[in-house]
Amino acid sequence: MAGVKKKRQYPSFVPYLFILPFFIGFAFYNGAPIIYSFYISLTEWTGFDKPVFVGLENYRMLVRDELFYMALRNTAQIIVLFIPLMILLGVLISYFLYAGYVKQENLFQNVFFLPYITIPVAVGAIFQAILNWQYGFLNKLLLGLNLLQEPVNWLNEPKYTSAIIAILITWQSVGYCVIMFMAGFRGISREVFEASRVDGANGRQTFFRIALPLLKPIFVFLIITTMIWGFQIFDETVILYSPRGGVSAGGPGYSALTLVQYLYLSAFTDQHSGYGAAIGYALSIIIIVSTLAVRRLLEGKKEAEA
Amino acid sequence: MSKAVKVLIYLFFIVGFVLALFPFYWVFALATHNTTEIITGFPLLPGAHLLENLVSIFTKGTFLQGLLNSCFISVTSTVLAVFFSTACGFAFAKYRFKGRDTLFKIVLATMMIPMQIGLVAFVKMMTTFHLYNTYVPLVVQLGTAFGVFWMCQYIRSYVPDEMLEASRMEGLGEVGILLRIVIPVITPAIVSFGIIYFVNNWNAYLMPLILLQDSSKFTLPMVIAALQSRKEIDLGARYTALAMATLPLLILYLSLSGTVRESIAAGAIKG
Repeated sequence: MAGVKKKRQYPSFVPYLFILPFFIGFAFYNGAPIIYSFYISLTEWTGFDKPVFVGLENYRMLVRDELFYMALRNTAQIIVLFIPLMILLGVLISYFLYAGYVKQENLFQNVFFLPYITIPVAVGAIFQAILNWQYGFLNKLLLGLNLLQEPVNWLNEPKYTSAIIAILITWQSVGYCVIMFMAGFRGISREVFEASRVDGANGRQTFFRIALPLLKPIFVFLIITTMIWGFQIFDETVILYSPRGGVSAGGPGYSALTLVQYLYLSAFTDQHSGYGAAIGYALSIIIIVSTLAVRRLLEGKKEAEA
Repeated sequence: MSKAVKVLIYLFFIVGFVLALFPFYWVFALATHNTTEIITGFPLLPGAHLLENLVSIFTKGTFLQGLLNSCFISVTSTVLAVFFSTACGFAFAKYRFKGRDTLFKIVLATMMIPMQIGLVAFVKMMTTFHLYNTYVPLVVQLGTAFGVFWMCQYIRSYVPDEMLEASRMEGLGEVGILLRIVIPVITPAIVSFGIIYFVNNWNAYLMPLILLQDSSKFTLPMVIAALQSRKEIDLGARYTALAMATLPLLILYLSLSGTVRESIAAGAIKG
């Protein structure tokens, strides 16, 4: 019987058959495009012409391109604004729900989560319906309350752009943070909270001294994942800042131009494939480097504390 | 805890509740008015033009077409992606074969690659293969790295080896085992991953935008985007289309909110 057991009970090609479709798909949709894109980024390839090899010329242009820095700065500004706001709101809401200050935990989680599963393009359009100078809710409200004399064109003022987009992302993602933090709080045993109560800690002390340090992995996870989304933001901003111009807009004075939108404009609107591919590579390197840097920074702190 | 603090916390939640829901309400309210009312009035309460706007979006323009296109693409690609992710995850979980561990590490590593990196080349390739402006690259999905990982974990924990061996004894082939033994046992994982994949796919904009050209092929997000950027427009119809576009996922979510929320939280991925 031992001999029978050792013998494989299935033909040896079976596992390969099962994994084959995934790897074919990966090679076709990701692997080949990644390699091919690098080659394209080394060429001058415009419209329907043949690609001409130019070495690192696109990258050299990129580091001197003011619009690229503009897009990078806009994207970074949005990230720096929305992450603290979203995480602060997320942790407060989830703590109040978890600690039972507010009942109807499920209702609130559901309501805060709705924007997250809404089509991002629709989120941009919804904010447009709020901020439009002519018929948007905000102006109608402020004019109605006599807080404004003249309608303000919120979407045409570069100084408001980053804040508007940061609020949009916060509105959209705070429910996601709440759910992640709720899971984190549930992972901390009730006894830990009770013990700290018995020791005479009040609500605030329990929150800061007990709960927050134990939730650190969730903070790190949320900061990193939402930062990656932030670098990739496209749908919402393109729709919010396209009153009539289509994808070519980029907001007033390019203040809403994000990195992915710049890639889109270069590669698909202007048909500069080589340059677009170089932006794709630059964006990916920026994402990977920032992820590693932030992880190191956040996890390095932990070692310093210990 | 003092009463004042309690009141403050309640107030905080009420404000949050209103801020989360009001934008939806505003769009639905706009959907019941006509353009003149939207521009000159303050349409906070429902108006009388919903039916007229609905007739307009369903008879004119590409809204209905976009809705049907999105349904077709999202349903078929989700079924395919879930099936092939399951097959691959099953192989990694339950078979021994040469190169398994290395290949699995490769799968995990690919989860970290930003999708924008190969975007330009992908469109060029699709053009070369005459797949540009077709649904083929959107529909023929052969699984995702996250799906493979997800299924593999679940199958490892919930499908005992004895079950597979017993099925082999009874003469069931390997594909039969996958279809009739494994898939029924891991239905919860399939539902979760299916929801995550479907929502991401339904919401996707950039990929269909760079692949599709004819407006008759547009997906729902593309139709909304096109309506937003149109110059002269029936505002009532525009916001009715927007409201109708957000409705399917709202209904899906409210009918199985627990499952959707847990799935997406567990999946922890977006677009």
